[in-house]
Amino acid sequence: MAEETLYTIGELAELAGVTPRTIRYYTAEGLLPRPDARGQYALYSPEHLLRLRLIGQLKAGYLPLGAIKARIEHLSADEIRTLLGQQEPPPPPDSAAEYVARLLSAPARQQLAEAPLPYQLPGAPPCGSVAQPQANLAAAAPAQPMPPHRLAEMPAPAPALAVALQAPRAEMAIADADQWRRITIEPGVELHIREPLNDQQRRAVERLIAFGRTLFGRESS
Amino acid sequence: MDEQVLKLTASADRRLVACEVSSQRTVEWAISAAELPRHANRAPLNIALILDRSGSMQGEKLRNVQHAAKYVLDLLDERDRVALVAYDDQVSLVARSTPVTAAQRDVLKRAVDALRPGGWTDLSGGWVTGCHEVAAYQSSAGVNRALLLTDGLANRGITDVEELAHHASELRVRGVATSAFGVGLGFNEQLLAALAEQGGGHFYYIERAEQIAEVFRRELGELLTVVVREVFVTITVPRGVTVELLGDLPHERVGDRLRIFLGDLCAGERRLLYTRVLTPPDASGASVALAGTLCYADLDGRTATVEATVAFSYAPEADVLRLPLAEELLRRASEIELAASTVRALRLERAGQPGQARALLLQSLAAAAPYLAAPAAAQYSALAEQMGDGMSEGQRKATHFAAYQARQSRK
Repeated sequence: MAEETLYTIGELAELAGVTPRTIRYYTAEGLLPRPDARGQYALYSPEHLLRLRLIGQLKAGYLPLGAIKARIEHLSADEIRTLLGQQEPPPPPDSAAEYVARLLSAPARQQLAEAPLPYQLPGAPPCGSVAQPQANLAAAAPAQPMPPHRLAEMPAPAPALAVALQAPRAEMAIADADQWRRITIEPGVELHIREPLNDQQRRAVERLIAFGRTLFGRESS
Repeated sequence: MDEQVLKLTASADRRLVACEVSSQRTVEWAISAAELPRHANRAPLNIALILDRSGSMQGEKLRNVQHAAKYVLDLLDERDRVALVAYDDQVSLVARSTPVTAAQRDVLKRAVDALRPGGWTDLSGGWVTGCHEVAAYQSSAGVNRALLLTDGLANRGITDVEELAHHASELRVRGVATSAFGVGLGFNEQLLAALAEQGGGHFYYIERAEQIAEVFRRELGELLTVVVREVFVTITVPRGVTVELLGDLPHERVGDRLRIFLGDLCAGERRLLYTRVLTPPDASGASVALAGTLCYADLDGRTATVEATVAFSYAPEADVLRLPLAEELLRRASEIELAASTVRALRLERAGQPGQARALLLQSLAAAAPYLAAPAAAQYSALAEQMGDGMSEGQRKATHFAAYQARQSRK
């Protein structure tokens, strides 16, 4: 830490985003220690700056000056730094484990059937923007990062997620070349098929599925 | 207090701003991590390997992934945890998160060998399952990260870029990062880069399957030498001043603060951030200062901060203009800006708007021209023409990856 840097009242005011008058007022009220006034100018230390930032943060929380004074008066520079550090990003409302658990517990996750075509959301999209992610992306030209703490206002999984997870089942509707598809005969038993199939193969596969399921005591639906 | 692990310095193209008119300054924020002391303990890794086994991975690609995954297992030891997830349209948790003891390593390697190619690509399902394992054993002293490999388009589960990036950023805030590896020509580079960037990890484009092991080694090499975690810079913006971050990097604004996220940094790593600053007119003799605070957690989970300030003094415009410009700094800033424009232009090109892509890049090039070296300028102008004519998937991905690395100021 550059402990040797000292500021004039004007410099300190600029750094902290307050007026010199405010600094003098805080000093008179005992919220700030008195500056070093041995030289021609009163000089303020980085600790003054830290205290001013903390006062600013606490004021933003509508704490009255008297209460702020009581809270910060006896703090050391390190304690103030820690407090400022802690207040930097507001802590997220839940842990990573809880967040992931919520994503995973969305309904019908495991029962998803095949998507209609690659790179498209299954089912009818709730709005135009999700239907064509590519076009959507181009329209939002400068990549605006998502506000990381949006969750506070929106605790449930995002709407598009809910749509994706509750998508209707799409049956055997694959036109894409060279795609593998898996058909569950019985939990733990799967048939792997490379698409596309010709009509003869398709009929044979359908019979195979039906036969397989009867073997496990499940009639085909 | 021991020596700082991270350093932050701030420098500007000029130290003066004009009294009479608004001035535009460029500020470079340099963040550098100390080299790893020889005796230092490394951070334990808590990772999930999330491997694509969709049908398109069949053959050489899957064999290379298996080889690379086993190689990663060899780099880890009993301090570390690893979970193994394989996904196609079904997600299978091949191995729950487990410490990498010698016995477990053998079990895990056999599980890797047993992977078979399957169906569609439920990238989000695989990723979330991997994150679940990492989160279950999240350690405040270690590196918690999901490593997601794919060769295809996400066509099951969550497929929207913005939505996946949002979840990645939420998980990053909660301490679980994501790195993404795209193999071959079939994956969506915009999606994977967004996932890694918002997820606080790294993105890699792996052109040929035989490079998979080498790229995994690079990522693991960085993870094994992480010295600080969850790094971010907060810039306090004085009243009347406008500060804009160049390079389209993950950031947020809260009140008068601009916060930029850098994720975990490894020993000796150096990152550069650039901000464009607009100062209002003011009286001669006044000054305005921009304060940056670098905040990070060390390997013991303690948070620490480092500060740097750049101050501008007000002077008559004629005096400001007489002062030499830091041209090298401006050149570096221009390159970051052009890299970000390249990514935006590629997005347009991919969306079938080659004309607009070309125009966007040429426009950025014209703006950056005064500081750009002639060969770099010629390269960008050729790239703009190439975009206008339409690009092959390989050119697109290689260009995108180069621009990603430039924006991140990663070598």
